[in-house]
Amino acid sequence: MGFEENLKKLEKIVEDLHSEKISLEKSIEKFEDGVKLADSCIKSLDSMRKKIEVISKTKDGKVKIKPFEKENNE
Amino acid sequence: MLKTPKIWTVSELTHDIKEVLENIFVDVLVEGEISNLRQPSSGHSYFSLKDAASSLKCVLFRQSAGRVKFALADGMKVTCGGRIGVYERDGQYQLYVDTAEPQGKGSLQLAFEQLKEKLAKEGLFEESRKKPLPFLPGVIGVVTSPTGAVIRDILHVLDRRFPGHHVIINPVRVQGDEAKVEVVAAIEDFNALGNVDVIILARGGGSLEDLWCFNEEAVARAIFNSKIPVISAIGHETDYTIADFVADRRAPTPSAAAEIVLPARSELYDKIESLTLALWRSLSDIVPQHMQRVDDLFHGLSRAVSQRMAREDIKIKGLIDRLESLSPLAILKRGYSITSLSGQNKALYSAGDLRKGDKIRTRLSRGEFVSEVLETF
Repeated sequence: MGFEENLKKLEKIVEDLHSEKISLEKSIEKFEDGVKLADSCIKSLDSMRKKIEVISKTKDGKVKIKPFEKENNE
Repeated sequence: MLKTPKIWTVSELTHDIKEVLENIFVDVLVEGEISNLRQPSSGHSYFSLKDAASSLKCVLFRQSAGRVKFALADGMKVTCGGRIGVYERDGQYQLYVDTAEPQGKGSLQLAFEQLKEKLAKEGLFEESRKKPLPFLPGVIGVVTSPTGAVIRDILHVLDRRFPGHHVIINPVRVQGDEAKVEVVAAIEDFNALGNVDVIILARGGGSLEDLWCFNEEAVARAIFNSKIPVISAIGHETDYTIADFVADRRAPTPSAAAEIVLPARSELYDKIESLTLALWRSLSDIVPQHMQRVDDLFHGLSRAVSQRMAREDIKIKGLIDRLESLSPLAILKRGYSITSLSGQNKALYSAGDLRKGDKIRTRLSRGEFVSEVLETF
C-alpha cells in the first residue's frame, strides 16, 4: 500500500521546501510531487474497507478464513 | 506347642513391606530441603528431601512435572505431595512426587520469577530485539477468545478509530491446559500464512492462575520467534505477564491495544491536509522569494550601470575639456581673433590675399564684426 512511505516522502518534501537552498525549478518539481503524494495518501485511506474474518482449521489441519459473525447472545 | 519361626524370602518381605507402606502413605505432604537434584534428559527429576536428621529419596516423573510450574533447585525449601512407593529391586522406598510448592511464596509466583530471570538472561526482553510496529497495518491479526468482551472491545475501538480496518481473528482458548498450545499454534499460523502485518495477543483480566498461559515458556518463545510484531494485551493495567515482557509492545488492556495498533483515521486525514497546506504555503513563500531575488538583481544591475555611466561621464567631461582647449574658440578667449573674407569661412593667413575694398569678417571671442580693407602691406 505504501501509505506510510508516501506520507514520509510528503513530510520530507515539505521540510525540503522550507529549507530554501533549492532552485525554483526544483521546488516546483517537488511541489508537484508533494501534491501527487498527498493525493495518493488520501486515496489509500479512502480505499480501506472494513473486513473482519476468522481463521478456522479443518480436521486435516487446513486453514480456512471466513467472515466473522459476532455471537448473537450479546 | 512350639511354633517354628517363619522364614521370609527377601522378595516376600519386600513385597509385604511394599504393601504396608504403599497402603498407609498413599497421599502425604512432606516438607524439606532439596538436595542432590539430578535432572537427566529423560525429563524425570531425582532428588532427596532432607531436614536436620533425615533424608527421603524423591522422584518427580516427567508426566507429573508439567504440574510443577517452577524449577526445582538444590537448597530450595519445598513441600512435596505424593505417595510412598517401594522399589523392590533395591529395597528402597521413595516419595513419588505429584505436587510441589515452594515455601514462602506461591509456586506460580516463583515460576514466574524463575522464567522471567531465565528469559531475561537469554536476552528475550532486550529492547534491541523488539520489532517496530507498522505505522498503518493493512491487516491486523488478533489471537484471543472469539467470544466475550475482549474481542468486542477491540473491534469496537477499531471501528471508532478507523472505519475500514481489516481484522483476522485466530480464535483460541485463553485459559486452561490447552490454552498455551493453542496460543502458540495461533501465533505460528499467522507467521506461516503471512497474512497479517501485526498481531494482538489479548485476554481479559483474571487471577494469576487464569492468566497463567501467558507466563508459559512456550508462549514466550512463540512471541519471540514471531517475525510479525506482537502487541500483548493481557488482563488489566496492573497485570504483567511474561508475554508482556517478550512482546514487541505491551498494551495495558485489550482496548488500549486497539488504540496503539492503528492511528485514528481522522488524524491521518488532518495530517495530510496540514501537509498539503504547508506545501502550498511553501510555494507561495518560494515564488515571492525568487521574485524578490530577481528584483534585487535588477536593482543591483541598474545601480551598477548608472555608476558605470557616472564614471564614463567624468571621463567624457575630461575629453571635452581637452577638446575645448584645442578649439579655436579657446584661443579667441585669450584675446585672439580670426579673420576671413566676408561670406567665407576660411581663415585668412596672409594680407596678400586681400585687396583694397574687400569686406572682411572678424570673429572675436564674443561677437563678430565686418570691416573694409583700406590698405594692405
